Amino acid sequence: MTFAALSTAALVASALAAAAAVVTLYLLRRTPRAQVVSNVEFWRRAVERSRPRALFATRVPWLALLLSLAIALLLVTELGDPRVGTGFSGTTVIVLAADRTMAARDDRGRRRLDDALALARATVLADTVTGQVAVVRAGLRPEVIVPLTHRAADAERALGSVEADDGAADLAAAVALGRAIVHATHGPGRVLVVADRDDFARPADPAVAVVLAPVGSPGETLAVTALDARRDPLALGEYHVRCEVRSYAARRARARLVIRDRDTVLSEQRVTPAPGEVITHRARGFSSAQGELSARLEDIDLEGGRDALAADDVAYATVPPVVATRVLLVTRGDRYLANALAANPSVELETVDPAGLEARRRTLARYQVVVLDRIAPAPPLDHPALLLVGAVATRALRVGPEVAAPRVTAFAADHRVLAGLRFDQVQVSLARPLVPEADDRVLVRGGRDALVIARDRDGARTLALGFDTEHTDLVQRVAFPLFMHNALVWLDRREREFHSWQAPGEPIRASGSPAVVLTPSGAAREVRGALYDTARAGIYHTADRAIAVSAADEAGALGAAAGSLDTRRGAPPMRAPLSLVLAAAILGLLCVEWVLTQRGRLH
Amino acid sequence: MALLDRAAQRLLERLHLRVRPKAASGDQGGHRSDARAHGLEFAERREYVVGDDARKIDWKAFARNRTLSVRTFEEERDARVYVLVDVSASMARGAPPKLEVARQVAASFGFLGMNQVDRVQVIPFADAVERATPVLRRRDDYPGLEAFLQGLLPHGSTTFGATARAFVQRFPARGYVVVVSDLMEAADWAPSLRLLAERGHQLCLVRVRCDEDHAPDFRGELELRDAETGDLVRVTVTPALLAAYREEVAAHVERARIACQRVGGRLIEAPVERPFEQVLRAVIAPALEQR
Repeated sequence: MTFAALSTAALVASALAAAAAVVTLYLLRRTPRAQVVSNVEFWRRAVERSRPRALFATRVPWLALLLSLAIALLLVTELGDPRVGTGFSGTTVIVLAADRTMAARDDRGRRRLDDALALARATVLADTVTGQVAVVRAGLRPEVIVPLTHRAADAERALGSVEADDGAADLAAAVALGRAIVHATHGPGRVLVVADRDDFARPADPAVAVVLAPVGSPGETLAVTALDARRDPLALGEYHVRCEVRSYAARRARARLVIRDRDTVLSEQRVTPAPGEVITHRARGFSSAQGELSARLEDIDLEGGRDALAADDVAYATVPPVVATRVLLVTRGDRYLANALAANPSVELETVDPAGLEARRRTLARYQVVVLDRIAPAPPLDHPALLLVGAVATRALRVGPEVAAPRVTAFAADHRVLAGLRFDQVQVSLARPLVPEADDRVLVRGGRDALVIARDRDGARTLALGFDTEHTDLVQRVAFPLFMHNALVWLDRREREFHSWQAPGEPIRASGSPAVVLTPSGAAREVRGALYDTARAGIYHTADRAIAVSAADEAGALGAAAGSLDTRRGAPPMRAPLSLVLAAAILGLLCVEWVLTQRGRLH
Repeated sequence: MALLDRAAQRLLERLHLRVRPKAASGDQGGHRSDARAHGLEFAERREYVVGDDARKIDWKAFARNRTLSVRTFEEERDARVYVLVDVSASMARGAPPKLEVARQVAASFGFLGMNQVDRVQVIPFADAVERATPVLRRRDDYPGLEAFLQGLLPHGSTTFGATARAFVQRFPARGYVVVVSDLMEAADWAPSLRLLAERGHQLCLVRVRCDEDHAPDFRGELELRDAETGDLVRVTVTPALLAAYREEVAAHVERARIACQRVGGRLIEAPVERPFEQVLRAVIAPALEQR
């Protein structure tokens, strides 16, 4: 038995303490003033004489007393929350899945999260009788929403505000957190995972049992599983869109896929994927200074069924704004380089000869990238982004002896500089191999010789080519402008601009302290450094850019639902109104007593 | 300090304590009595019966009426003045204490009695009759009376019923009985007053009262302690309770007043808050005869 979440021993101790307090109060009670009179018998008679005789007046004190006692009893009961029952003896940590699949609705329109909350409430009510309970919300990040408690009311308040995130739950981390909580109690305990899937790891720990309480039933859904956009490097201002729709339904689905840039419809087409089919939709030729895209499935028809999850019917992406890169080309005359850079619509190019470089040393900070064509200025340039073509040996970069016709044997296709490029067919007639240092990345290798290296050290990036444009056919290939473009993007640290979306939960960095971030709901959030609460999908805005937070991936599938469980029992009633009623009743009673006392009806 | 100053004594010298004939007894004195004897005041003429003293036959009437008749005279006797002084603990209440005023009242009646050569005895009482003064008859005895009164201290509780019964047994001679008390005994005083009257006493009840008894102005929660018995009563004093208390005390005093009047006596109220000379002039003196 518990009363006010206290054990029997604690109850006895509380009763003793209360008794001591009562005795103390009795001893310290306000004693009436002493008054000597000639004869108290007259006062006795006066008291008897002034005692009310009317039925109403004589009964009211007793009725008031009984009513007061009844109200006090109800109040103590309300506050104490006495419960009798059996539950788990020890510590129970409830891990409550709150990812976006928990927002899926069944045929009756009830969310899996509602079932999970009902099950959690029932567990709290039962287990707080005999033990203590904590609740961990397994959203994008595990979060303890109810610390260990014996009071069911504490958990009730916290569970009332739980909502599902738009991203995937990190159930494994949440379970690990639950186990850590149980271990910290040094007593018996268990972790009860209330989730709609069973794909998390259960560590073999005999001390802490991990039990799954499945909720939800398998559902059918049509989902946008990908939405990407990127700028066309060859067409200033234009971008491409790629959207992927997948059916998780057991029957043919029909829907309209509408892609919008803000409120402007870019594309609208009907999709009819077969069960399990993935439909990829590509569109290009759109132009915008900064696109804010959404792909939404509308008018979904599952041939008699219903789309269980609305959260995966939409995805978001942004198109990076067009940003000009100022480049200083220092060359004695190289038309390949100059033309390749000049052809890039996002490059503002200035070309100087080595003699003119000295005059620009003081203003080098104006340029995002400096390209040195077969020269090594003395003293060396202090710039964070250097592209060295036909690298010359310096104290910072060692260069080996000339090698004739080195053959390209390997290239780092995963590096941003070589993204989308192949170097295995590139011919180099003469090169001076570079000597990489420990943290250099060799991008192109010819046997043992490093032909191209990328260095990212102390906040400065350097891309060095061991050959010049006169001794390679790279400059004659169509990929050369793209290589130069990639090189400038990497050197200018703009590679993140090609991430057209980020997952829920990833922080949004904002410059300025404090900075203001507008959330998809339109609320302005003041942040310092970054906004970490990005559980909601949508377009976020900082002062200088838009960021798409989108949960479009395969985690949106509902096919892996763990099963169904009827958990509608045990939901506790709301309690707050009763307390208010009791408080109002006591106040009213006190007023009545006061009035009766003032009118001489009560003594 | 003297209980009666010169002014009070001069005022009392002009007053006369008139004792009804039925209450007069004892030796010859200045008060008329019911006894037919060798007095100076002609009472009546009646027919001669055998056994009458032949010397009292009214021969002039026989000459006129031819019937034998005798003349009778009232015998003038001195009166006994009993002053019963309540010395219970409640008499210590009030400002000044009620006992102080009771001493002055008793001294006044004693002075009156001695001034007209009556037999004065002051008898303190609380729950019983206590040691009384010897019979005082002359003005010279007054200092002794005052010393006796000054020596009275408040103690015990008032039991007037027992006091009355003891009094009539110990003092069988009729007289003028002055009871000086605060009447703060809740029992009915009427039977005791009737008992005294039935024994032929003439009654005068002097109620020495104070505001604390008569019209208290208490407020709040009080623990009332009886000055005489020590009994405790816890009350919350409200205007209604105060009114009820005043009505209760007033009814008690009124019953005593009515009982007194029914036996031919009177009740005089002497508030302690007023100067005694005022009480003497305004309350006591009007109740007595002027010489």
